[in-house]
Amino acid sequence: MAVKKLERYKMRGLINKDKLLLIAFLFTFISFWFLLPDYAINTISLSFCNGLVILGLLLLMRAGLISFGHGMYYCLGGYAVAMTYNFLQIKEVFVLIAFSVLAGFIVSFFLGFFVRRFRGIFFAMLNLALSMILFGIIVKSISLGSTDGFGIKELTYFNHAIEDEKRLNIFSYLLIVILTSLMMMIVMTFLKSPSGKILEAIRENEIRSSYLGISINKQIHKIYIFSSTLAALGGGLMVILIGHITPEDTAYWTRSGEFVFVAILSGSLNVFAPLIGSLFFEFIRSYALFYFPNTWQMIIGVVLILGILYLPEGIGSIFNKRKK
Amino acid sequence: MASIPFIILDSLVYASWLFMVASGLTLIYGVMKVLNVAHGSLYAFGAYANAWLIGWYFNNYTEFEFLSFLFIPISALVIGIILGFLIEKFFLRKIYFRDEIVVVLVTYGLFLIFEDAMKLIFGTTSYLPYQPRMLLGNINVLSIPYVIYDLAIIGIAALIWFLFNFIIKFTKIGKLLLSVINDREMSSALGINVNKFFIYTFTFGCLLGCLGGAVSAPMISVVPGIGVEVIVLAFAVVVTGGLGSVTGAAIGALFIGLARTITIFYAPQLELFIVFFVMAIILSFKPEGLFGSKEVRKI
Repeated sequence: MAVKKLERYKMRGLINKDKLLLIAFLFTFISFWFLLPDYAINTISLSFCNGLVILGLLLLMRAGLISFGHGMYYCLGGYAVAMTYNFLQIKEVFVLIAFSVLAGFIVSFFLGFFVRRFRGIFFAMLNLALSMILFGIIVKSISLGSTDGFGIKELTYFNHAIEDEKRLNIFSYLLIVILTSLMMMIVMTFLKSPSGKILEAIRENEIRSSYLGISINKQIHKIYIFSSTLAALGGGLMVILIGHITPEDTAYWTRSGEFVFVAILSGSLNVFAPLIGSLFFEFIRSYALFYFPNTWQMIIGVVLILGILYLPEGIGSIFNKRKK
Repeated sequence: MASIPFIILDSLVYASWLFMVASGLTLIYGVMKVLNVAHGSLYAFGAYANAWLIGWYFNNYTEFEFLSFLFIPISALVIGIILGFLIEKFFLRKIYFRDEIVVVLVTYGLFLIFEDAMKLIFGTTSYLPYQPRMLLGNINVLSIPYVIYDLAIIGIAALIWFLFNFIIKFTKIGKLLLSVINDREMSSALGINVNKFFIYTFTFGCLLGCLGGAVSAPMISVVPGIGVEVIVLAFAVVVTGGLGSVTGAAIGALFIGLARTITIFYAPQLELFIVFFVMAIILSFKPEGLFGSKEVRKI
């Protein structure tokens, strides 16, 4: 009987290989909390926060677009958390996260009307310009913290104050891992849905898809909002984890370049690739910083070029051989 | 109102500086469809090489001070040709057939490598090669004292613009280049060596980037990180003017130079903001830039 039920769920697409993998992924990372030392956990959580941005970039890449300014939404999400905390004295984590998601959603909704008309390199560069505008505004205005940014202190989870002084505790770790898995789940389902499949059609041939009756600009606007909101969520979680945000680390173009770098290295074949790619990148960076403090950028550059030359489909292609 | 001549002069100087940096970038994009992020490091390399040579010369010799001007073309030529050739030959040639963004990322990787290489070669202390700029002295323009060296930059930029137009319109190389720009495959079928054009164009573009750095070295303090700031400004100029158009880059530089100087005079805290604001405004009216050509999409 149970087996029959399982079969029926499988047929309806409620259970499939990717979803089972995702659940395994979630439990593996939850168990890491008990197995790995603190610095590794810290790197994992940070790379998950950044991984959300890259998950957003994956959505855009599915439609053949890339944004050289996704650091803007990362920054916006982070500032939404930090400013709500400092100006409104709200300490409840879930409210803060709601604010960061809302900030990303609203801003990308309005900018989307402008950005959706561009493609290719212009789309990338326009986003770069927008993120540099945000950077310029923040750096030059004292009330927004200028180059110092903002810091946050103790937080509450459902009104429970956390005694632990450390920013990285079981609550913040669980929050990050569970939210990230949830987002992966949503993106996965979205990519399998008709609107997700449309993206590939747009990437392959925009004019033909528009002849089929797809409103291209609307679809691009939709995924722009989707991916920006993911980036904002990533930024918000990053502030909750690190406890500090500066414009230099988030909105400056080199940061967005890093995101694109990881996104290209990960490829857009499946939703695990961005997270794995981000994890890989954070570990390389922390080791490079530790062993070669003066030449870590050089090492990252070398990894990037080697990756592009020898893994043309991204890290995802190792797990997910494309059927020809 | 009295500050209007100041504003015009300053924005002209700034625009010429922007154009010098951006012209190489737009040339490379126009011919090869490569948006070269490493252009910023070439600028920094040129500046460092020139600063180092000037420092070395003035520490060891006291006579023939005017010889120090020779270091500008020397450093630009040496660094530009060596690096341009190596980058094209060993990296870009392997990935021309890939997506534009992937090529941008390869140059971004090179940019990261060069940033650290410069720190290893030249150290992290700042260089101040002010001597050549002092040598030329000041001049009064409409009763405003102005540094002649800065005014000379306007001349150099105008010369570069003129050279570009002359080569493209009146020489055989220019005509061949135009055919390569318009249709790569057709021109190679007609017997034009496209690879050779690519390597020459790329090297020449890199040389212009290094020249921009070498010329501006006496006006700034050469520190790590100058390449990062320059490249985003150059991007803004090039995209505003229309990717691949040299005249567009010149007009874009003038627009952005003027807007920036006016903000510096009246609202200095908006300086960084205004450059990209102008770019966003112009793109919202002309999505392909001022002089950009509309791309024909495949069906």
